[in-house]
Amino acid sequence: MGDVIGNLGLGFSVALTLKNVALCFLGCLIGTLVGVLPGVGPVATIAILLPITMSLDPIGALIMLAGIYYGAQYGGSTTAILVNIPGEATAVVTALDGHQMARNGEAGLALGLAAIGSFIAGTIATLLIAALAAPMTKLGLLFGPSEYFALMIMGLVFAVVLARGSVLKAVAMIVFGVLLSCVGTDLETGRERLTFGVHHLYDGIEFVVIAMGLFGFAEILKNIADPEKRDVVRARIGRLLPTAAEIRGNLAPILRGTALGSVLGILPGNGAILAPFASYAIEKRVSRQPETFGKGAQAGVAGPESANNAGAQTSFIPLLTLGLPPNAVMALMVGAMLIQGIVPGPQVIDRNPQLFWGLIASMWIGNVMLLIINLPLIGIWVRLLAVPYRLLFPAIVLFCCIGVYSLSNDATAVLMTGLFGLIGYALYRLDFEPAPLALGFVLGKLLEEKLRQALIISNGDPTTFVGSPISASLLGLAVFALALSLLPRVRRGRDTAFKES
Amino acid sequence: MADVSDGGPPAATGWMASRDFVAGLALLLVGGGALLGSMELPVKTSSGVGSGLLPISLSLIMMALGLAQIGLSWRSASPTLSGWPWRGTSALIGAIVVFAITIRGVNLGPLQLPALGLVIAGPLTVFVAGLATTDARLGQLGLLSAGLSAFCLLLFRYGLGQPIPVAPWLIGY
Repeated sequence: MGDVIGNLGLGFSVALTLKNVALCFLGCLIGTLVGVLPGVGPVATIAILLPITMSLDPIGALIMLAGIYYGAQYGGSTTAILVNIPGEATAVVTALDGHQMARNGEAGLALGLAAIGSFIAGTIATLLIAALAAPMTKLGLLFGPSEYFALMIMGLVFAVVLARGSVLKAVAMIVFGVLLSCVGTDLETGRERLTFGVHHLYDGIEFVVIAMGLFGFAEILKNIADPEKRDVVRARIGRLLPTAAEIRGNLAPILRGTALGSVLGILPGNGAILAPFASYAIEKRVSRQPETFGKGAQAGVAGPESANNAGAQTSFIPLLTLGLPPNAVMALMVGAMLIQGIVPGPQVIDRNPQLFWGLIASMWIGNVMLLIINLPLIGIWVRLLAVPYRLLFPAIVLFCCIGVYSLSNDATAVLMTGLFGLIGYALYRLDFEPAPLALGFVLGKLLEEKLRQALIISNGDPTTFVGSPISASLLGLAVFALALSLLPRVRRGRDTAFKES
Repeated sequence: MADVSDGGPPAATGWMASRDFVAGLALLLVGGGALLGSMELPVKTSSGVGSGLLPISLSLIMMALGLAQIGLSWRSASPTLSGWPWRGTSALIGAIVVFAITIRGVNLGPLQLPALGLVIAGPLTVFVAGLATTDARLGQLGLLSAGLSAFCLLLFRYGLGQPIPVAPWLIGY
């Protein structure tokens, strides 16, 4: 416990410098600003804004990106409540009762409850991360190459199992992602792979190029071809702050949501995505007035929003301690860390303690910022929602072009991003999800490296992966989860888990 | 829904035009292409895993998944794919290409273009991209392209210090 306090102290001493507080503030502000735009989810927001953090030092860049992430998350909830357009899967639940509240003239209250719930969830999750960071890292250091390989396979399988839609298609996207990570010169053997003689591919494909193509450009194509129906709330926003009685009434949903989100977020594979759905289902079940759910129940906003924020935050744990991103947003954070020359993994906590603890401390500061930025600025966000999409997307296009160009001052990278935009849109039309692709791409290199190391240690004997009890049980768990998800009964349950009850 | 677009008749009908059949076909093609690009690589080396093991095995898995998807699509009733949104895709890709060739110029045999810098590339990109929607208004788009370019110029070049060309033909950088 003393360690946790000491480490958090170090973190706050880094994060509370004027510059880093300013960056965190700026990140939250820009993140909310972009995230509140309809049709721009957190992944797209981070991909679009990634280049503007490149000129900062590593700590500042990561703090700002984390701020952007929280801002984008909160912006997504704002759009869900006010316009009924969930920017991403996890905001779907918020839209259910939040938008109903808004139509009943309680938009302000819904936003206020979401912000306060998120703040409480964020505070608890930050403490949890600080407490778990050191032991998880120790665990990570115990892992040899074969255990790491098994853990990655398990994470990828979990990501497939938890994704919505077809299991086969999700597996195919992961395979596609890993294949794309093979493109370029193989560092081990110096052989060119999958370059088809194109010399722009010799150095491999930049992650930002893929992310901006799949999550930036493809999203635009999707929105243009298939305009979302906007249902901007015309009713008044109403008071923002809940009364003491309302806070008391929603404290239990907030705490239950926080617990659910924290646990699910730590899972490798995108567990956090389930958190708001699970929280909504539980609140509806324990509520004394379950009939109010879907018609503007406060607990139906406070619970899932807290779960969402807790999960968003604890999903940093596998990234920071094991170097394994559990979802597309964390995959982008890996990309950002690599650009800054930091290889994520259990060694970061020892080699860059200031960065590690500074980032964790800044998470809490980010949550405070959200509270003080968002509530007073609601009026501005509402007005932003009225900006027509035909004026928004050309701005996003120019931003992405300049951003990708400045990565390496290379116009070819811009063209390649355009190509991935087309690929991403085609994948969307064919009902493939881009998130597993991004995850496969980011983990691909590490996967191959660990595979090689493990086989060198075992003199080429592939049974090494089932020889160690840890890797055997991880792989067993993966096989079990995959088999389970293919069972007809579980499949039906899985499909309904993603549908509003 | 995935199947709304701005027009065009479906290219084929029935099972061959169903979403899941095309999805399977796409996986098969990508897997096959990846196999072509990696099949000459060694799967094993004297010291362990060769550079071909991962790409070759993944290509084969991808092709198998494609075949399985095609098989599944025979029984699943996935919706028929409708036409491709040509206006949106060509305007967006056009804007990206315009940006890529004007920002630093190109020198590709017959295609010669001097570096025009952000002052020209910015407004052009915004304008062409804006044509992607049917509700585009030219006057509004003109104003937007000028304003946005000025903003990006200040932000990226002067605010963030990125070495992006501004107007090489006018001021030399």
